[in-house]
Amino acid sequence: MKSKKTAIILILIVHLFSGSAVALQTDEKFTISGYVRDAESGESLIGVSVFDPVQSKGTVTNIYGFYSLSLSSAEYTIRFSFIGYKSQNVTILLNRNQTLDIELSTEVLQMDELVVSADKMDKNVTEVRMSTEKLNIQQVINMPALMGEVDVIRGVQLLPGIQSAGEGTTGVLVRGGSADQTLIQIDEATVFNPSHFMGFFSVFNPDAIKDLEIYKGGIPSKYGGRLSSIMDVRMKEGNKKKFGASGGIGLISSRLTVEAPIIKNKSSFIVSARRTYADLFAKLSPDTTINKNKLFFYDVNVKANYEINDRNNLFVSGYFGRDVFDFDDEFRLEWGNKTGTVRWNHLFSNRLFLNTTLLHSKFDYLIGIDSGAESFKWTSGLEETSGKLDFTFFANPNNQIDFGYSASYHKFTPAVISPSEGSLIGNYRIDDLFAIEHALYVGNEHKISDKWLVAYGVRYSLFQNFGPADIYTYQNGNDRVLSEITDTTRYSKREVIKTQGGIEPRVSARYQLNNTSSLKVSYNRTRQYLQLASNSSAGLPIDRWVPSDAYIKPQIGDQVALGYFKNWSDNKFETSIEGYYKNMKNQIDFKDGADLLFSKNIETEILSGKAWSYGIELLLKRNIGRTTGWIGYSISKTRRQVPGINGGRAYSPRYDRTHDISLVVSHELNELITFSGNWIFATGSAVSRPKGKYEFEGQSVAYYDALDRNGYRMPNYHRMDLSVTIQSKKNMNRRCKSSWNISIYNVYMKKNPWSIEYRDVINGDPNIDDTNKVVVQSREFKPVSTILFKLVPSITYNFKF
Amino acid sequence: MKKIILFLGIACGLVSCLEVLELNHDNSDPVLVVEGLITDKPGPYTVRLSTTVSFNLSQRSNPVEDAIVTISDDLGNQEILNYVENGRYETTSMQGMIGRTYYLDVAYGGVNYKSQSTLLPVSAIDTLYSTFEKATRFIEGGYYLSIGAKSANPNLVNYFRWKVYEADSLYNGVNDIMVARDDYFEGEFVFQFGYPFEIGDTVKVEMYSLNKDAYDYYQGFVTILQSDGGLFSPPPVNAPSNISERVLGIFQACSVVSEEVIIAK
Repeated sequence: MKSKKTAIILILIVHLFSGSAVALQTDEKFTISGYVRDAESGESLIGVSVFDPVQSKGTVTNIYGFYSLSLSSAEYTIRFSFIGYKSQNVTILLNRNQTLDIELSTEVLQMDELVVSADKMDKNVTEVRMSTEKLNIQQVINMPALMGEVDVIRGVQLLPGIQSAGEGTTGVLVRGGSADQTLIQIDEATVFNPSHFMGFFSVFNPDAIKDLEIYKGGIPSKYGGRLSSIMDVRMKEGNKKKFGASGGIGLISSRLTVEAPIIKNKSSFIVSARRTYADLFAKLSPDTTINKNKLFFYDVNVKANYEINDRNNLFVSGYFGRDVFDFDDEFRLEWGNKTGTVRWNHLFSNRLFLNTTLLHSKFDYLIGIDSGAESFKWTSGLEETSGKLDFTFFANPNNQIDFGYSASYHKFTPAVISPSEGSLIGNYRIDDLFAIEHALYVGNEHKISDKWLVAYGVRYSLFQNFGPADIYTYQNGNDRVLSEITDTTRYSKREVIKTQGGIEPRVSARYQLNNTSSLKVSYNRTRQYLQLASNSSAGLPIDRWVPSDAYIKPQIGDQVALGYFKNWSDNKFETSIEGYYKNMKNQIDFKDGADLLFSKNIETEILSGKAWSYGIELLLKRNIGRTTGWIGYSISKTRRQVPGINGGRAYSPRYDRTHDISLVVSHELNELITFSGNWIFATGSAVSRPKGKYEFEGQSVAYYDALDRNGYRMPNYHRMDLSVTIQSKKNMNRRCKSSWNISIYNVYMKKNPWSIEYRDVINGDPNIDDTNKVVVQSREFKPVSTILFKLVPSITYNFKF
Repeated sequence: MKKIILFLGIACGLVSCLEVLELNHDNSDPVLVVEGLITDKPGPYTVRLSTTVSFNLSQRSNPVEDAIVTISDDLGNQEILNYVENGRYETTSMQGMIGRTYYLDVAYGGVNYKSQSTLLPVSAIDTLYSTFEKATRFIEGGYYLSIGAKSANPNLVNYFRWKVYEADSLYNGVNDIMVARDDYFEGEFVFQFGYPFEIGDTVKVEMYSLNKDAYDYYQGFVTILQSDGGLFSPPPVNAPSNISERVLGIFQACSVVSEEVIIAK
């Protein structure tokens, strides 16, 4: 293995030198650079192809819509093209460095399907990135939605290699990684818990989202902090040209977005808000036991930007969301994320781009019982404050260098329990924890020849815990037991307790086989210093984040991936096949019956082991035309092995699903009507199944084989969803456009078990739970499944002006 | 947790439903189940032995009739229990005493299974009273019983269990196993039971002292009894026995206090 790595590095070095040799030979170069924006709204466009078809040289705009291309002095016709937009050709005489900002107009889809731009839409084949998916937000909006709530995470979960923890959950599990191994960020700020309503909905309001990219592998050196995946969500910037508003009224929530220029073409803002109102209906109820309950979530996205001048752009954005359950003013559960981003794009020259970002994110929850002897308030949360410097140096058309530094300060407040007046519950507090995470990275995307494009880089990350804190010493350092604490070391404020870190190499390469196909390979190492202490499969808002420390080693992941990419019929169809192998070290798991919420010594509840995953993913996609969508298939296997669990033998985590198929289709019948449909199939989750039953104190109980964790499967899961979006006929002549979306979730009413429990069934009826109210004729110990969603229709009204 | 999920479902206008499944179950070899209790109240004390049975059988348990069951204490007293019926073995003369440690020895199928438990003190019940609560979406209306006591040993974490009887009949449903620890309380505690009574009901509450291993066992037992097998439950594991890894159930020595109340306005 080691010799292979050396060989790869050697090849890279050779190529680096040959590349610079080529660069030296060329004539004087000039740089053309600028921003590409939407002509209607002024929103910057991400990933626009900027291309000289003659020399076949080009680039794409970065996540801020900026491009920079250095070419020899000559006359060029540069083509700017982007899916869904009219391509634009600009002829320039390049004899000096120059700035060229471009505005692209949206393409009105032609009735004749054959008129499809044969533009340079082969990015998926030609770019060096692999294992990366970009979600088309518009496509998600047309998709059938559960209860009418359009959800970008549900869209992401339909891509091959990406799974949910189970039906109706927002966890994003990538290539055998757990939910906490995916970094979810909105405008670069971490979202620690992406769920609303226990996970039925995600925190992302589709009206506020501009772009979503997810890295499953081949992660560039600029990203880090999580083992498996980075989900990068970008908010809309707001219309710089004119006032606009959009929104929708659904069965459970309403949304409203307002955007407008502050200074025309220079500055704008957007505010997007959403609130559910299931409980508002409840308020109408005359029944006092119902109308006092509160149950809602809301979220607000705000963003403003200011183009100071050609060289400086400023953005400020924030997300605030909260879920509130309040039952009869007695029991309360609240949770929510807050994030804030301040971003400054600065151009030192037209070849050196700097993005400076200040970030803050916070997640917290509160559980309370308001009155009585057992009343208390329990709060918990964590905060992350970061600063980042990200440079891009457009060295020449063949080399684009990214480098930067980031520092994040983490503060954890695991639990504070304070009694209310008259309560007999005592004060309880787990001490706050503090840590700093540093990362330094450099990476180069290097075009060696027409055939070879490589990206290589390295990231160095470092994690430091610091005081104040008490660190315990255990009799047996490896098998820590609470009763065997031998010593306590007191660390004072800011005193470093433990420093851990290391190198994370990132390499990927593309070999162009011909105009329409390429081979790609990548290797990346990732390190993760924060983990979710969750003993259940789906994340709960009350799960506790735990930093690596003197006892919990950072997780380390290594992934290799190989892919073949091919486009067909003038790039109308994209296909890819990718295989990966991933190895994960220092994976945490929990002792049976672990107390994860209230333990002051969480290291005594944790076990550590390894995990590995491998699989093959197929994707056929069509982005252009009136019928768009994709078919994704993945076959994979994930295993975990943790001493102390399952007798030390390897087992499948619950989310290991061998086969996973998603079919996503959207068809625009005419300008007014669009049909969409999804079909999903997945192997049943890995679960334990009883190997007998017994009686204890008169109760029937399932008996599990301690050496056969998750050795069985739930029944296979499949379902179909359909929707139709109908634009109002009057739209054509009016500024205000409206549409109706009718969705049906689980059309053929497949009874997919959400859970299976084992218990006594009275008289053959699983709904009888009170034996006092019926005559017990029979009592049988049986598996009982809960089915959550049997055909859920919904209707949503959307408008835009 | 599941209640919240279901409530969410209802609030969102969903109809979730339950269905009995017919699944094929593999079955392991029978595993011994021990249910042994000795208290500071007069005997006879019972040890019940049974084994696991195949999942799809209608039989609920398989009593063990041919074991030799011995209980001894740390003073050297020893007694072989007599077999009665249905897997039950009883003592004849033994009397549990606070502070003593008791040893169980079961010889069955060529294996000797051993366990021990210390009979810890339990504090007296200070108060037992009922309060009227109106019906809400989550609770039935009626008279709710509260129990109050001081910690038996304020310097230690004390573990205990309650059993509730109405007209001498034990509440023994899936949700009726109630164990608690007192370290989140400050020296005394009040606990309200989660179901209502009616005026005139005669209610008896027993409070048992528990060792930590018994507390852990009941925690695990409640977890597996109430496990919904869903995404929010931890992976199911058998409750940790204090006898041996290949055995289910527990042997425990407890002191017991009890109090009775007739529910009134």
